Amino acid sequence: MCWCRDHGPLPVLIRAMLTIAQLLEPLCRYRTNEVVVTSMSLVHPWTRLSQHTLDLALPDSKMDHVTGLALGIALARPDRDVICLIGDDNRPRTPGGLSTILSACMTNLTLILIDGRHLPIPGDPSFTPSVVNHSALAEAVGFEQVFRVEDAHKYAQSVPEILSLTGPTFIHAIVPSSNKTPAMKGHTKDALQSPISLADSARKVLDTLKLN
Amino acid sequence: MGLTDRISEPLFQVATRHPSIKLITVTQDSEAFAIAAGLWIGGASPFVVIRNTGLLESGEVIRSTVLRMAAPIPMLVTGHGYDEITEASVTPEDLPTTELLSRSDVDSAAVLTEPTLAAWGIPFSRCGVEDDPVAAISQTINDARADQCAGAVIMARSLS
Repeated sequence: MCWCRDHGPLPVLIRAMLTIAQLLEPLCRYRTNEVVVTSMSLVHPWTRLSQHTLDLALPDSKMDHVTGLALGIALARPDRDVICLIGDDNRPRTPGGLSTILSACMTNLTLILIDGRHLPIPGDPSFTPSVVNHSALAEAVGFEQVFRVEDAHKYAQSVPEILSLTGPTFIHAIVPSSNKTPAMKGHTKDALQSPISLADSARKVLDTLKLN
Repeated sequence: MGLTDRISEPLFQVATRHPSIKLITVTQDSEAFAIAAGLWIGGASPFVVIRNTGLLESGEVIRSTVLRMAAPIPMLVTGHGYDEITEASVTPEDLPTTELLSRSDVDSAAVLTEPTLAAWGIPFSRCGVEDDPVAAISQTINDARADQCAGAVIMARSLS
């Protein structure tokens, strides 16, 4: 198996973790005609990699809203796979949204939750490892395809297989994050200043889906 | 799609049996609007049925999806508390002052429903006991499609 499925507690001294770029680049490389929905701080790094007509960015929407939106697209277009990239900013509301996805009984949705974890600094007593095990949570709600990815190389090799799975699929990606790491912070404002409005962006995806 | 309650229950029962309507229920009111926006992007024609208390909870998702996308989502908002405010000699047009909202004989959800829709720029109509609910729902759906914007009908009457 090329990814981690065990749900044991992470060691406090986290080794070299998957970066946002290492997470998104293989996804962009192997993505074909899937709809990709991004939100908040993930909008900017994904936009730098992809300008696909089926990309939909919601820079100021919360996680549950974005997963709901992705679910709606997946329900309307069961012939089309939908990938939804979300941050872990809205943890307490996750189980309800996940159970709605399962209740919908559709197989074409992949949720990728980016779990930004602060890198431990030796001697820094302020470091507190994340305590929410999102992959275990998804499994407990009833997701059958649940993966926790941490290793960049193994993950990159696994992406084609992950994308070919019958969903719904939940991927818990653990990436480094800190207040000094621009990968997870500070891009929402840039994304909000996009020259294309969300209305135009949504229309573009709608029109593209109509044609295909 | 949405969450059922005492007023909308008959509508959900009809939708369950309808051959061409797919009923989608949610775990919390605000989910309905995000899913509806996604359904619209996917080419479907969603109709949201939601409690007025749920509407008040859903402001952020309505703002960030339905309104930001200019998604023409029609919705039925159940009018809980409208009977009570009528009995209390209050109308939905009365200003929602602190004094009014804190009265024990007034359902504040009913007082706040219409000002909230107005504040969010969502055109709405009210369907009372003397009105035809089928016609009101049809009008709301047609208006949303014609105007290409969200619209609401407040169901201030029973559907039984």
